[in-house]
Amino acid sequence: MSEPDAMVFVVDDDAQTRDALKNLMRSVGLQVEVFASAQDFLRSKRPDVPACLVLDVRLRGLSGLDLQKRMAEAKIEVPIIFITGYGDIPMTVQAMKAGAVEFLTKPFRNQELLDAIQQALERDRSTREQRAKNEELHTRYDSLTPREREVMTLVVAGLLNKQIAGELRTSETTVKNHRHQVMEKMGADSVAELVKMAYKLGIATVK
Amino acid sequence: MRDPAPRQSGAEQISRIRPSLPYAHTALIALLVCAGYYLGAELAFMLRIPSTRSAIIWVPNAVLLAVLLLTPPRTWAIWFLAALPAHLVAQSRDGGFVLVLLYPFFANVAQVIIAAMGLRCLAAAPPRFNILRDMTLFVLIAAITAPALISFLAAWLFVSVGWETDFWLVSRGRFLNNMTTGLTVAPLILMAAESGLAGLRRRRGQRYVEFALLAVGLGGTLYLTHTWTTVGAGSIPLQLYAPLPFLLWAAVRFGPGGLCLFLLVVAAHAISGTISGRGPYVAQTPAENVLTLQISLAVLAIPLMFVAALIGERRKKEEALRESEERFRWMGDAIPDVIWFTALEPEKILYVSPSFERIWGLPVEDLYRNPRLWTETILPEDRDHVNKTFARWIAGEKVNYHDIEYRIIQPNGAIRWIHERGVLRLNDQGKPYLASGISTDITERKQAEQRLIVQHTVTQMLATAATLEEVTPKILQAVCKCLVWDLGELWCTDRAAGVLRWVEVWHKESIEAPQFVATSRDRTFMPGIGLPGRVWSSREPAYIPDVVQDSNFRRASIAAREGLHAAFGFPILLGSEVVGVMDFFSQDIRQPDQDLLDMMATIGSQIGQFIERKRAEEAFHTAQMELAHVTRVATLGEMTASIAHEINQPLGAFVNNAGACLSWLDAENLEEARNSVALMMDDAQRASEIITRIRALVKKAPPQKDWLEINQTIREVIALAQSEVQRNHIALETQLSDDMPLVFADRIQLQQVMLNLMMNAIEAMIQVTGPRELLISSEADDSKGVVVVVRDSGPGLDSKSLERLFEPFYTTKPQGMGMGLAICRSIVQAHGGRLWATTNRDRGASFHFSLPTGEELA
Repeated sequence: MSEPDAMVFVVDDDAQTRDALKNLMRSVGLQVEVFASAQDFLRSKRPDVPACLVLDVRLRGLSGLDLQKRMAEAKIEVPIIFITGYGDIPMTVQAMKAGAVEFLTKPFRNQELLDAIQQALERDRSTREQRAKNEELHTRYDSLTPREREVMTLVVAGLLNKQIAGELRTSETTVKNHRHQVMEKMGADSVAELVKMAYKLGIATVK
Repeated sequence: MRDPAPRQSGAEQISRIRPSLPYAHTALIALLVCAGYYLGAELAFMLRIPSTRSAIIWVPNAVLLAVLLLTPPRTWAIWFLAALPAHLVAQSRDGGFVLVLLYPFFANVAQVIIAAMGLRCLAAAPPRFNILRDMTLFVLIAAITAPALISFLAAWLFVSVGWETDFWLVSRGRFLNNMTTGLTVAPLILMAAESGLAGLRRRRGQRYVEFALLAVGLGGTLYLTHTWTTVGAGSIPLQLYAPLPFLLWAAVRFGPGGLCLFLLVVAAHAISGTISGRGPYVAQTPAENVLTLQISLAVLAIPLMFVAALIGERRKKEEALRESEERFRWMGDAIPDVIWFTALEPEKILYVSPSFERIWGLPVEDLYRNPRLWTETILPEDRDHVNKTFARWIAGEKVNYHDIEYRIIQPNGAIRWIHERGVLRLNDQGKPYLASGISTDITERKQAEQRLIVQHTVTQMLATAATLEEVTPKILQAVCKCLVWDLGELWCTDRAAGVLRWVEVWHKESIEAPQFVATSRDRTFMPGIGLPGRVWSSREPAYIPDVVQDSNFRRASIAAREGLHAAFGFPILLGSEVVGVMDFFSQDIRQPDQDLLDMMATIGSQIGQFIERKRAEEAFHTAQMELAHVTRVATLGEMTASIAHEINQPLGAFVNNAGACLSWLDAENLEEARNSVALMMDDAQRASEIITRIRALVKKAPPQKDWLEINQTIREVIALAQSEVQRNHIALETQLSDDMPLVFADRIQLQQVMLNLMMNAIEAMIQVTGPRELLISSEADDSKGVVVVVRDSGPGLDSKSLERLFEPFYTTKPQGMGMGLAICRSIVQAHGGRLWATTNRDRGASFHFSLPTGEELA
């Protein structure tokens, strides 16, 4: 089976609701997987695609809100859309504060759900993109030699080449060479970009 | 037979009357003694034959004896001292030394002492001359023994001293002298001293005449015989036996007193004759004459005295008998009960007391004439039993004591209750020959008893009856049977139509009054018309002794034809309103009985109270159902959250599927579109089911019982409460056993019970931390039927709560009404089961309810 470009997970203990939601997702061309309980969802192997979770608050065993907490603890960053047959304000507030995308009470307008799903998927996409970018940056950084890393740190600190050479007790040329290497490897077009990268990596600290 | 109590001596009686003057009257008596002695001595000397020195009768001895017998021994010395001077003075005419004079005195004193002591010990003092025994003893002791003893003793002394020579003569002389005195004078003096002149005055005029006649007769006889004396030794003197009839007459008619008097007269006459040389006692020597005289007198006196005593005794007995009869008759007349005596073979009434007339209403002569009358007056129902019992009794079968109750009819038709007790007299062979007894009229008591019985019976009936219709015929029957009325009816007020309507009747089996009952059935009564109408408008009981005579009684002619006479009615009062009337009829004419009416009025209000109670019970039942309904709704209110959730599920699914369907249609995928629609229909169906279930719970239907599978009901309720269970993170486990017998119950009500128990369990568990485990189990129990247990892991219950849990308005919830468990319990109990709570050993509480299965109901 080819990798889908997005995925919707549905967790609800009510069979009819599961079927209905599955029907709905498929009818709009979304890939959907349904689970009867939170445990089933956690145990499953999730494909590495943008995804979101449509989650009923009331579940047998682990409740929806508990699942949200668990996922946060396990750093599973799938955005969650809560649905429920009856919800009260405290429940809603708790869910949103914990980072849910949306909180819908049945019977909700289908469009509302679909919009929320789109929003969630977008979020997930951008999150994933961001993560991917971060990862690449890290890879690049890892490819630097230790000397190059030192240079990068100093460059990012705003030191001139002469000063860097003085710091590192090496010649300016060597510094320039290293600097060039860093720029190459990191793929930064300008020092400003390098600085941004440094911040992202968390190495922009000034001695 | 001896009189039991000895009478007291006159002196003792006198001393009791005048205790404060003992010395005064002692002196008086002493004086009398002295005077009497002297006079007596003079009299004796007068009656002495001149040539002899001894008296024919020595009166002073009689005086002494009399006084000794009338006074206590401690005073005797006084009397002797008083008599001594008299003796000395009297005897001094003969001359002689003082010592010589004293000698006979001591002898006399000794004699009277012996006589008196003897009599005191053996008889009474003073002796009663109308008792044979006393008379006999007197004669023996005072007239014979004492004189004999002393005479012999004295004579021996005289002879030995030398004053006299002929022992026998002296002794005999003295003896006969004293004997004669004792037989004639002594009794007279004693009787005179005792009864006194007062006794003479008590006699009736008739007796005076008789006395006078007797006196004249005797006097005449003596005079006549006086002149006709035949002189000659050996011939029986006329003088002797001529006075005999008169003396007999005196003995019979005037007793010992009269006899002694006339005897004395005869003796005096004889003595005077002898002294003057006339009469039969002059033939021999003076001494011998005296002897003859004395013997004659004695021979005359002794038998006559005995006759007098006998007759006196008999007269006393007759007197006593007459008095006894008087008393008996008085008692018989006075006692309100009937005392009777019957001889058994042949059957003859010997005596029936006058109360018979009052109680039986018949003259006593009728019963004497016809002994069988007493059986004929017995009420037919009781006659058999009474006759049988009586026959067995006189046959000697049962006990010797007969105790029976029966009813009689008086001529005027009234019935009275008799309580009869009897005893039998057996002859020597042990066979009864005489029966006697007492019959008491216990009508009032019996009536009171019966009224109590009716009251008690009716009260019991009303306490245990379920409906009015069930109890009224029983009441009619009870009143008729216990109080002996023949027919009872119940009428009921129809307020709308303003009349009394006939409801029902009860009558004794032996009574047939078909027409009366038939007309009554169709009748209605307006207020004030007829007996029921009268009772209705007056709100008071009413009594008619004879309806045939009553102008207001509508059914009089029919009643007359069918033989119904007495009637009474009473109202059934509910507060102050008459809701019905009961009336009763009898074939007898009966007099009004206020006690009966009072009791009936009480029963009427008791029935009214019963009606009120039943209405209150019904109202309560209705209110309970209302409350059950309200609580159902309230419980539902608590479940709104869950219900909303329940319904929103299918609705949400429905909407989702609808949306999907539209999308599918856009994508022109008809297959999927159709599927979607199918799913939508399912969703709608489910929503509708939930609505139906909820509606059913809210609907106010009366219990509709059916044969149910309890597990099914439990599952339905679990489904209903599912969301609640999940919302509160409760682990629900069921252990429903297979092969459960069916129960006959109302589904909705059972669901309500289950729901309530589950909600309570859930709420209990929410309050505590820790695992929330709800266990619902069901099993079949041999004795109890089906048992369902709802067990939670909440805080549990303490023993105090366990008791109070099922009370209405007891709740531990701040918002709770406290009715849930009370209503559950009443539902379960209405199904014949039990609902109870226990605390679990580890944690939490368990609620159990049992329902009877088919086997028990069958």
